[in-house]
Amino acid sequence: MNTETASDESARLNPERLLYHIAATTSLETGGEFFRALIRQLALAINVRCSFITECLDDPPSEVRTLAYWDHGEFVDNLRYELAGTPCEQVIQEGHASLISEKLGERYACERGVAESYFGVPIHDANRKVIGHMAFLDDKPLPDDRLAHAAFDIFAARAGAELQRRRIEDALKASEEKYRLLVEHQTDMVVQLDAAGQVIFANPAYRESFANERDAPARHAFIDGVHLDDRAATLGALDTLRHPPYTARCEHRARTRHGWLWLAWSLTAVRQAAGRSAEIIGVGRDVTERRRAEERTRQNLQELAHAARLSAMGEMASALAHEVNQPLTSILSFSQACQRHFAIEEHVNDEVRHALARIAANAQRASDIIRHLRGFVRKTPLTRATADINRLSAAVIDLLEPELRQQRIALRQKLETPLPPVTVDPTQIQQVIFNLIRNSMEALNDDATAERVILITTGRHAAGQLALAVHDTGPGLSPHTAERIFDPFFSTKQDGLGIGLAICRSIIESHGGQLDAVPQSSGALFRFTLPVMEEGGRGET
Amino acid sequence: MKHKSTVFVVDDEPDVRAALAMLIKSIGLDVECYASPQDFLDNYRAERPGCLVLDVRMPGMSGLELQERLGAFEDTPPIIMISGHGEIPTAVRAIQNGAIDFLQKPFSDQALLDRVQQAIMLDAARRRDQQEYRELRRRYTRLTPREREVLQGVVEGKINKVIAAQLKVSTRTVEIHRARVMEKMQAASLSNLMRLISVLNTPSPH
Ligand SMILES: Nc1ncnc2c1ncn2[C@@H]1O[C@H](COP(=O)(O)OP(=O)(O)OP(=O)(O)O)[C@@H](O)[C@H]1O
Ligand SMILES: [Mg+2]
Repeated sequence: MNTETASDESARLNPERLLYHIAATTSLETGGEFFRALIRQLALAINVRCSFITECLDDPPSEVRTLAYWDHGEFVDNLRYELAGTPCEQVIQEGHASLISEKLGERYACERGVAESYFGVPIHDANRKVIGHMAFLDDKPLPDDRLAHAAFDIFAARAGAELQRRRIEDALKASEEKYRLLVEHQTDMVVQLDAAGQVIFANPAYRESFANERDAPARHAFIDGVHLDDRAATLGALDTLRHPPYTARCEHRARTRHGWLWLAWSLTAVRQAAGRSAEIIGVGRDVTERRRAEERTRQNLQELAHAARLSAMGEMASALAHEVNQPLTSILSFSQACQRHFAIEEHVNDEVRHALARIAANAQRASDIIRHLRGFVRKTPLTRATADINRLSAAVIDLLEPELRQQRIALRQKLETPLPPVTVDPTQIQQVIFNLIRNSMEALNDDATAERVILITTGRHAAGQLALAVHDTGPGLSPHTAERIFDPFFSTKQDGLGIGLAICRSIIESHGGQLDAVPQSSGALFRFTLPVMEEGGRGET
Repeated sequence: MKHKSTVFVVDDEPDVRAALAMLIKSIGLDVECYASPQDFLDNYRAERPGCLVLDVRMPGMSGLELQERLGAFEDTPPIIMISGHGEIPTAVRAIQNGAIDFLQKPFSDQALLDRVQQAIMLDAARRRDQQEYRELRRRYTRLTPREREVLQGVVEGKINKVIAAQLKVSTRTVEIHRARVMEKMQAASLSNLMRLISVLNTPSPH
C-alpha cells in the first residue's frame, strides 16, 4: 500500500508519467483484465478509495453495469444499477466529466456506503456516443488539481476502444453462435465443396442423411450419392457456378440412409481472391414429397391420355373395320364367285381352284380378326357415378395447369355453384373436357395473337340439363371445316389423328347429352350438355 | 310368269357391286347394280319381280331410308340388308321395317345366296297370291247383287231352300243364281269356291 502511495504522489504531479505507467501496466491486457488493471491503477494514481468502470446497457442509457470495481484496496463484485438519482447520471447523459469535490453524501445516497467526493468521466465510442463511464469516489474531498483531465480523457478513449472491441467481439460471437446453431440444427442440408466438388464440410442434416461418421466425415465427392440419371444435370449445375451470377439450382435423386430421396439444391460459388479457385456452398432440401405429388399428377395425366388413346383405338378400330371390310367383302365375294364358276368348268387346274379357296379362306380370316378386335375394344365398361361437373373440370385444369402456364395461356372460369349432380363415367367426362381444352390450346398455339385466353363456363342449360363450354380466343372454325370436325379422322393438324371430337361426341351422346360447336364471332366455342340427375322425389327440374 | 326375277344390288362401292353381281349370276339369277338408292328409285318399276340387296351405310340416302320409301309402294320387293358397320340398332330397325335379313360384311357366298333365293321365292309367292287375289276380285265384281247374296248364303253353308226362303224367291231361282256364281267365279266345285272366297276374304297380301 505504501509503495503504491509513493508512486501516486509522483503520478499526481506528473500526468505524462502517470499515463506512461498505466499504459505500461495495461497494454498487454485486453477485455476484462484491461478494465481491472486500469481501474486499479487509476485508483492508486489519484489516491481514491474506490473506482469502477461501467458500460451502458440500453440506449438512451438508463442503466449501467460495472465491468470492474475496485474498493478499499481490492476488487469487489460487479453490479448493475439504474442511473437515476446517482451522480453518474449527469456524466453519462451530458457526456462530460463531472467533479463533486465534497459533501457528496448531502446530495446522493450510495448503496455501497457514503462518500464525500465523486469524479466521473464518460466513455465514448467512435461516434462520440456515450457507451459507459469511469467513476472515482473517496471519503475525503477531491481537489480538482489532483485530476489530470487530459490523462483521463486518454484513458477513457482507451477504455472506449476496448469496450467497443469487446462489443463487436460479443456481437460476432453471438452471430457466430447464431450461425452455428443455424447450420447445426436446421433440417436443410448444408455442404461446403471444394472446387473439385469434394465435400469439405457438411452439417449434421447432411451427415445424418448420408450416414457418415459424425466426427470424421469421410471426404467424398458430392456427386457420389447422386442417381446416375441425374448426374449430368447436377454436374451441369456445378459447372454454371463458374460464371455470373455464380448461383445455380438443381434437383436430383440421391441415395441416403432413408433410401432414394429427391433433393433440391441451391448452390453458390464463394468467390475467393484472384488466383484461388472458388468453393461452393450448397443448401439442400428434401423435396421427395413434392416430387411424388408431381409424379402422381403426371401419372394421372398419362392415365387420361392412355384412356384417350384406348378409346381412340376403339373408335379407330370401328372405323377401320368398316373401311377394311369393304375390300374384304369384294375379295371374298369375287373369289367365291370364281370358285363357283370354275366348279363347273373341268379344264381349270387344281392349283387355281386351290388358290381361289385360299383367297376366300384368308379374306374370311382377316374379317374374323377385325370383328374380334372391334368386339374387344368396344367392351370398355362404362362406370357410372354421381359427380359434380365443376369438380371434374377443376381436376382436368389441375392436370393441364403446368402446360397452360408454360404456354402463357390464361385460363378463366365462370362456374355456376352449386350445380346439381350428374350421373356419369367421371373418367370419360374428364376426357372430353381434357380433349376440348387440348384443342383450344392447340388452336391458340397455331395463332400468334396477343390474347391467349380459354374460358370455361358451366351452368344450367335447358330444363333438366347442365352445360359446360370451352371458349378460346384462337382462330375459330371456318364454315367449311365446321361441317367436318366431328367426322372421325378429320384433322387440320399435321400430327392430328382427328379422332378427338369424334370420341367426345360419342361419349357425350352415350351419356344422353349433346356436343356441338356453337358459332362465334371470335374464337371457337364447344359446348356439351348432360342430363341432370332427378332430384329426389320431385321428378321434375 | 311374265317376268324373270332380278336381284337388285345397291351399294356405293363398285367392287362390292361387281363381286356380288358375279356371285349372284353364278346361280343363274339376273342382277342389276345401282350405285345409290336414288339411282335405284329412278329406275324402279314395281311390277318387276325379284329382291333387293341393300347396303345400310351410303352417302346421300341410307339403305334404311330407301327401305322406308319403298314401303310406300304396293309391291315392295323383299330386302336383304348388308352392312360393314354391323350395328345392332340398325339391324333391328331394318328387320322391324320388314327386311328379311341382315348380313354383316363380309359374308360367305352361301349365306348371301341362300337369302337371295329365299327372298326371290318369297317375292314370287307374294306375286302369285297377289295376282290370284286380283283375279278373284275381278271375277267377284262381275257378280250381280242378287248373285252375291246367294254366294253369301252358300259360303255360310246354307242349303238352297233356306237361302230361297231368306231371299223370298223360289228354290229354282236360287239354283240358277248359284250356277251363274260358279261359272263367273270359275269354281270347279263347292270346295273350290270356298277356298277362292277365303283368299278374297284375307286382307291383301301386297
Ligand atoms: N378450339 C378449336 N379451334 C379451332 N379449330 C378446332 C378447335 N377444336 C377443333 N378444331 C378443329 O377440328 C379438328 C378436329 O379436332 P379433333 O380434336 O377431332 O382432332 P385433332 O385435334 O385434329 O386430332 P386429335 O385426334 O389428336 O385430337 C381439328 O383438326 C381442328 O381443325
Ligand atoms: Mg384434338
